[in-house]
Amino acid sequence: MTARSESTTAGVDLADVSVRFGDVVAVDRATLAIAGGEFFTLLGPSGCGKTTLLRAVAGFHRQSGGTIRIGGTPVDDVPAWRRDTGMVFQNYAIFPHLDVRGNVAYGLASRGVKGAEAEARVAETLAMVDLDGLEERMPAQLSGGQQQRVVIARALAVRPRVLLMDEPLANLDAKLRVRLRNDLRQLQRRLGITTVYVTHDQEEALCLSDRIAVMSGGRILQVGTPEDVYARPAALRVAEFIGEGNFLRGTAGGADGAAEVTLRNGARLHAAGPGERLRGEVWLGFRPQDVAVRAADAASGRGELTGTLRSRTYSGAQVRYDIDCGFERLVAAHVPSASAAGSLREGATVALTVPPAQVMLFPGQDEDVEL
Amino acid sequence: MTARGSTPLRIDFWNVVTLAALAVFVLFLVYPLSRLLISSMTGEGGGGSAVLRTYVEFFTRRYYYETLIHSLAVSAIATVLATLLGAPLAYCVARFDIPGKLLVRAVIVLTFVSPPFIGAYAWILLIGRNGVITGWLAALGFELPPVYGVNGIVLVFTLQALPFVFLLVSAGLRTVDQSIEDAAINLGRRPASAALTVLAPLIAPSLATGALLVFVTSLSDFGTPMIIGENYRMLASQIYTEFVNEHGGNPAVASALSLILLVVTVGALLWQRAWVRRHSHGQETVRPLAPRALSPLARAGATAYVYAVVLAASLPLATIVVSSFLKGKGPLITSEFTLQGYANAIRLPSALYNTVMLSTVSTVLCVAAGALVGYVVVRRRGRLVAMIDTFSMVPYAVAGVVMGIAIAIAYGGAPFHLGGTVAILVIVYFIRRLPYSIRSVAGMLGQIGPQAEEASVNLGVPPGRTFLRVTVPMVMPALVSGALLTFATIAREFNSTVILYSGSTRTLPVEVFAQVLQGDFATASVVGTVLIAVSLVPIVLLFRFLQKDESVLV
Repeated sequence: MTARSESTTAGVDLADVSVRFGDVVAVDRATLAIAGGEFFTLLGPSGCGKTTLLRAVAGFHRQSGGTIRIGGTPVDDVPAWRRDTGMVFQNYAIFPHLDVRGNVAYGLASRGVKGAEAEARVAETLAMVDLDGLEERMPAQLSGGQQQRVVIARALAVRPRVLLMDEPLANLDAKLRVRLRNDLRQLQRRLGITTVYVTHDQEEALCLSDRIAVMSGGRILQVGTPEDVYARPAALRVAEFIGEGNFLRGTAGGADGAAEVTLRNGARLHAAGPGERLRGEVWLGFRPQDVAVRAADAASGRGELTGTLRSRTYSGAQVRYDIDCGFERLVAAHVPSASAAGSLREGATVALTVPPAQVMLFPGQDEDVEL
Repeated sequence: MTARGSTPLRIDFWNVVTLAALAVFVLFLVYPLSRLLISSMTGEGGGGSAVLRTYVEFFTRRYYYETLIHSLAVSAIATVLATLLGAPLAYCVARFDIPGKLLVRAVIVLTFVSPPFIGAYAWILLIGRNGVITGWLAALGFELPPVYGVNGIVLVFTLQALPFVFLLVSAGLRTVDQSIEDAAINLGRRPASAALTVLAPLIAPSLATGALLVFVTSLSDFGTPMIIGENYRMLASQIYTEFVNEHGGNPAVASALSLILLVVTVGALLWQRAWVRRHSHGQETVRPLAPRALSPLARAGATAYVYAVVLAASLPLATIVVSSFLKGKGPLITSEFTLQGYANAIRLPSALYNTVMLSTVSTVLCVAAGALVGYVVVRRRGRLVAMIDTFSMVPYAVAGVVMGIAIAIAYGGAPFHLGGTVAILVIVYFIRRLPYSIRSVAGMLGQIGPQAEEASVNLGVPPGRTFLRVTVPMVMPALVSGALLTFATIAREFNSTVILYSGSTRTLPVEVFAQVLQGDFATASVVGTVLIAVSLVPIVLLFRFLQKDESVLV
């Protein structure tokens, strides 16, 4: 389907964009180049500034510094009603007094599209989101998922240059969220429309995006593909936010290449993952699913941690172990339930190994915030 | 958890309360209104035996039916004008950075609690034949159109009803989520267009409720037409005249006219409720509408508009307070300062005592009954509860004068002989204000859910004690603010009082009215100022010590 005839999709460029509310800096010098047709996600915990940044692109906040360009043209002085962006809001913002047709045609009317042309455009857009035939329904008669499709259709009907989505799936139940997520991805690919997507759900961000900007405290910490931010986090905060992880303080030493890290309990681990060249005070991190666990009778040597199994939590396909290795916090490990290691008892002494390539290092002065 | 309507009633605390509530409504609402109906069909004197004689007369004699036409026309015009002025006022105050918003809100609340007809004689003082402003303009060679008659009535009705529209539209705007407006703007609408195409339809129910209140209040007000209307005759003032006629009055005609007014007001209420049901959309408000920045010019315009309207609405109050300190000569007020007026108002102390005493007693009864009945309405099920719920809606639509006459007929003479007593006034105040108390408690209980009470019963505390120890503390904020509000409204109650008072139960509003009719405007202002102060005390307490804002008023 090639529906996009009027305006063509456009890239979005942010140069040093800051948004302040009084003394609070909500967004701090954000610089991004989002390519035309790209699915780009702003990911971060609540209060990190991602929604503020999106609303600045839509024109609802005037940034206090920097420049926003859509399709290469600065839009800083263009009011929100002329920015030609299509926005989808977290709580739908469906117009409850208008039926489905009225909702989808609303933006067309403000662009002077009326009569048969508007009717055709409404039908075409509703077909894209599989809502054809529901034109006469009032929003109250629709399910949450259908309402969300209506507002997506409403945003697409005006053929905006950019689609802006603010946690559009957050109000849906888990199963529906996954289904709509896949539909959204396909729709975006088919239309090729530049999409800026805001979410705090890392799984959603990883599944949907061409690229992700991870934000925290108003700053952009890392921009990269889903693989980049997951496997090669640029900062401790990124690693903490995306996926679960064990983060331990230690001192890195060793010659060139992989580091040997001495942890606070004296144990040593090899680190050959991202940050392997760091030396001195470091944060060492690894994912629970990368940990191999086995019963241990005696203390073992290098490249291993030993500890006492404190709790075992069964969750179907896998078992989660929380192990006391003498650190401030317990070390988590995910083990397949069916494996030999899956049947260890609480109180058992265990040995943990982590492949060096999966061990990441971050500068020791980084703040550990436990996102 | 509760007994269904079909299961036999057990003697438990809440069943007793339910039956008592039903008895209250039957005794003080159903019975008086039935007596009113009977009275309208059994007028003595005159020929013809048909029970509908009075009604036939009403609709065939121009002398009578034109009062209905006048009332409907004037009230409709006032409703339209008040809505056109009040809705933009609320929008400007809610959405724009108007300087002195607190002052604007305070003044609107002040006009809300001022007695009904006070605007009428204040405008006479200002722009009547010998008015202050009339004099200034005459000196400059201008002449104002006469304020007497229909013009004056419309002016007073419109301005005194503005607060209803303002408060309800403000409340309506608080339920709209900012994202709705953002969505409209994002889809290419300017803010003004978004307000008309999206915000206005969403607050339509609030707007309709405000309009209904304006309409019903205007229909019920007979003090205003009697003071400023000169010979312009309206239904409510005709009812009053027929009932208190010096030559014995005509209860049958007054009853018939009352019922006609009742049909109109109940009809308006039912129509409004049906309309609202069709036009209300359950909305979730995550982020309420935020104020929007304006260009300096637009901001100046909005500010000028807000202040002009608020000034017009509050001018009567200022006039009364100021003139209470000025020397009067009959209907003329001089510019000479004096405190003598306060010393000369001989009936002021007893009227003040009566007002405070009656308001206190009625408020206590209203709040206690309101808490119990409010609980029943929200937490219990069954046919009896549904009946109570319906009954509790009726007083909203019964004009004060109609309720006063119904109570007078039912309880004034044999077998109760309560005419002229404190009790009969307490009855009318109680039944008129009870619905508001019920609603405020029901609203709060609806929000907090039954879990805490269920936990208490589960821990072995019986329902009656659970109510006192768990429910009452939880709804205490609603009870206290409800009590203060009830006190303020009863203190200014005029339309029913004037039917039922006697020499010993004269209240402040009755005294103001009597002085105005006697042409002693200076004394009227003195009593009026005291009345304003009495109504204001609970409002100040509400705002200052309970941290409420004007949204509690609706």
